[in-house]
Amino acid sequence: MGVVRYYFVMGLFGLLAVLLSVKLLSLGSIESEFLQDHGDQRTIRNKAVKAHRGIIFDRFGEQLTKNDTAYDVWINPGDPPDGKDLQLLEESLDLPSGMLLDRIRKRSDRFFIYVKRDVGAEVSERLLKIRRVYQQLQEKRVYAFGRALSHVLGFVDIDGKGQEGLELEYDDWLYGKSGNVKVLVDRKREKIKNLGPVKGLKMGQDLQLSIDLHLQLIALRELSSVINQYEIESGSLVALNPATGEILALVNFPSYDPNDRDNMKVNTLRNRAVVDTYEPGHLVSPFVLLAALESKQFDVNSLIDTSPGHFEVGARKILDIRDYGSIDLGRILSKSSNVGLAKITLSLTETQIYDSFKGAGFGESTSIGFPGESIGVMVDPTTALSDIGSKMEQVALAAGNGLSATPLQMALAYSVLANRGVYNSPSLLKKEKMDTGDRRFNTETTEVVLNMLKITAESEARGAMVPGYVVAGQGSVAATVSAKGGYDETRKNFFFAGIVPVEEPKLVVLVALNNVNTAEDLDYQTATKVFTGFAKSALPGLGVEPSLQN
Amino acid sequence: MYKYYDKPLIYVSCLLIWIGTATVYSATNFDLDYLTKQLIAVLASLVVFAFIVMIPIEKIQYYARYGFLAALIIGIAVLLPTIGHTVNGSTRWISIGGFTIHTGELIKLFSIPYLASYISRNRETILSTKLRVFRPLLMLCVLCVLLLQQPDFGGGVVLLISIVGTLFLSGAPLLSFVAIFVGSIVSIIFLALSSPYRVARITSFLDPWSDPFNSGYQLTQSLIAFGRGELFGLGYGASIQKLGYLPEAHQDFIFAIFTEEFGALGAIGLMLLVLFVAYRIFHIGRLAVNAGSWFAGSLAFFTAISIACSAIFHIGVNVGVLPTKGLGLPFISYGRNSLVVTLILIAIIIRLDLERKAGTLPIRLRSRII
Repeated sequence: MGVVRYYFVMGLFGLLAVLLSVKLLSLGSIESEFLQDHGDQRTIRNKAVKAHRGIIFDRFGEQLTKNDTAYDVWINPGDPPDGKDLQLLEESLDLPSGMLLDRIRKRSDRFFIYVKRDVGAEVSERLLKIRRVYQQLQEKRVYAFGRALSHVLGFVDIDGKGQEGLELEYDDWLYGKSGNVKVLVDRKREKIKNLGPVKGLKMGQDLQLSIDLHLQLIALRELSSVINQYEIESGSLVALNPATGEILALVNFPSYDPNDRDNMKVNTLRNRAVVDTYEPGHLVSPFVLLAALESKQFDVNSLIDTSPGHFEVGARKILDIRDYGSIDLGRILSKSSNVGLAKITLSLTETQIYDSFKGAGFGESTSIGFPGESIGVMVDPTTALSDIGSKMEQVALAAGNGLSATPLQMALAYSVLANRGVYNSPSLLKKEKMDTGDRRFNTETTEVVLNMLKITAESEARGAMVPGYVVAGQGSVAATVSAKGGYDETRKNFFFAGIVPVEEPKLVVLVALNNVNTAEDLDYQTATKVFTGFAKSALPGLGVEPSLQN
Repeated sequence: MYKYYDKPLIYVSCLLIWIGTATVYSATNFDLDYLTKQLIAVLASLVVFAFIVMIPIEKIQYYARYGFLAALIIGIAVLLPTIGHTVNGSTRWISIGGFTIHTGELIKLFSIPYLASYISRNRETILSTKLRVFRPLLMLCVLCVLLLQQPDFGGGVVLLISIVGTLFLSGAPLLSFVAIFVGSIVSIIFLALSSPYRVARITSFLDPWSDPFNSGYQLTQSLIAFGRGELFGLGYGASIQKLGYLPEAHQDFIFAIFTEEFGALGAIGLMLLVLFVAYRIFHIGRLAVNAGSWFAGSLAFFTAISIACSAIFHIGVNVGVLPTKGLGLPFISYGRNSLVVTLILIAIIIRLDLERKAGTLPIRLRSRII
């Protein structure tokens, strides 16, 4: 048979094999770079790696915030889902029918538009089967204790950036930085594997607050209950640990739920305890006495003649409720004798009251690092234009009118007193290391004043007694400033500052009740109600043993 | 006598079956479902092999003449609406008792012994008369046309080339082949341009990078696989293209996936293995002819050319030198029908080789069977 033909056929296939081999080698060497580039364009993506936002804990490690996963749903207007899928999408997300079509038309040049952000896991599941609808993983910040911590924590916006409160102040610390990693993806853009290390990722760091969650919840409960009972406009409660300066509780009313962004009202957002200032009134009286005692011109037995119960300094008229006659410092304090306080003040130098107040922290920044914190205002008698002007300002200070302060500052002042004159800088974060503190007043003088402030069954503020514990405290009914200037006679503020137990204070509590209608027959005993309600639950909770027999 | 089986053919075939199964498993991204189906097919093929190899060539030679009729019936039946299955636009399958039969393979299977038998019976006339060669050719062209109607472009062309090649080797006058050659080229060109779908395929094939996301998608993805494989490949299972990027990774483009995993050198190796099988069958055919059996020889030649052609075409399509045809690589591509038919043919080849060695091969002297 045709041997030639046989070899011809074999040779033909052999030649083809050689040609194909050449082509294979070419593809695998010369052309490989071009081909791999094209391949990589499809299969390699830079994927962002999101950093988890740091968690905020209370002082005992209770978790106050949580990062839930939420999904942002998006579509590509250049390659949108078809009609039926679009309808299904709108139905699943409760969007008005036709809205998406409209949006797609308007943004047809884009490759990416959000359909709905912050969608929960359930809805996300249902959307997985709709074609050409994509989802992006997001972290949703959830606040476990809602209203109780809203002012302290603040909240984040939809992109996870802090907007208010500590979430804002420590945003850099908490937020972290997204990183990048090169990934291999399959046709459906699902990640197959990482092609290198994650670059540039900085995880958000956790924050531990000085706040004691249980005290915070108690505080909110007590404050809300009294406010609601008497229909008061607003109020705050600040509780400090005087020995360390750590803020154990800080609540305001009205409050809001940071988890419910859609229904937030602007007037509920302010952290009044830190941001709003008020004239403290007689709340500052103890610090007048401190100045008096420190000056060595007065002692515990000194007597001041307050008759006839009224007194003039320049244009300022000073009035007592009645003529108390000659009284000692303790009585001046307990009766809130304006005349007594004024006369003491004028015996001191120009700056002594001012310095005493400054030492207590009034007019100074607390440096707790809270956005929008107020410092308050204090008149400086040395800057007065005349001698009489200076005297008037000194007297105004002593009466608690010549200055304004935040409830936090008021609490801080009493904390210095409770701490026997040593100032510990306040902190919203847990203090791992105690600072040495700054001595502002002598131990002896503070002991004397604390003794005068002790609440007994005979005290005016006897409502502030807490069974089993010795309380020292001072209340005040202070004027409110009207928007037009001058005082608003129809509204007043109630303050009560309590220190308990006096021997070794574990709590300094400041209760503020604001804009109470003068027509209603209320006095600062309403504020002491909040105090006792709080202290009764808080002290056992702190493990403080009662020092008195009931 | 069985122990004198042709070792190289058997060993390389087993090797290829093993490579094929492993590659399919990888190309389907380790899908156990496909693996099971493939393994069952391998098992079935081996069982069928065992049975076929016991059939004397004499019997096959006797019934071979009905091959044309059988193939014709199948080819027409599949095109009738109720019998044939349409998948992806082509009607290639008939289902009988739960099995789907690939008609292209079956038509090939019946054509081979038929043509071998024809050649064997009509050798003198083929050698002498110029036009005599056209009779079987025309009959078989009918089959090719039926295939093209399915449409099974790849199957049709391979069948045509195999037929022409076998007739060529049977000694028909050269001039007739010139005519055949010209005629084939003309008809192929005519067919290629006859439908816009095919024209589009050809333009896309000539420059796939001009439209890499639509018409050029499959080819560009295939080429990317070759580029990624470089010379030594990414390693077994490491193919990226199979992750949804290359369609038909386990069938029409399995060579590309193999190359991505084993490199150009691995690819050349695989190609040589498949072509070796074809060569070996070719060799057995020549020995058979020299021993006096044109039936056996032609049968072997047809099979060899069919395997070699399928392989060359498959690889050619994968590397982009031929427009997409939808052709599987023998032994390797996932296709249970194809595997069974291939093993049936090899069984027959082994058988005729054994008979030749044993001297029991039916030899035709003149027109008589001895």
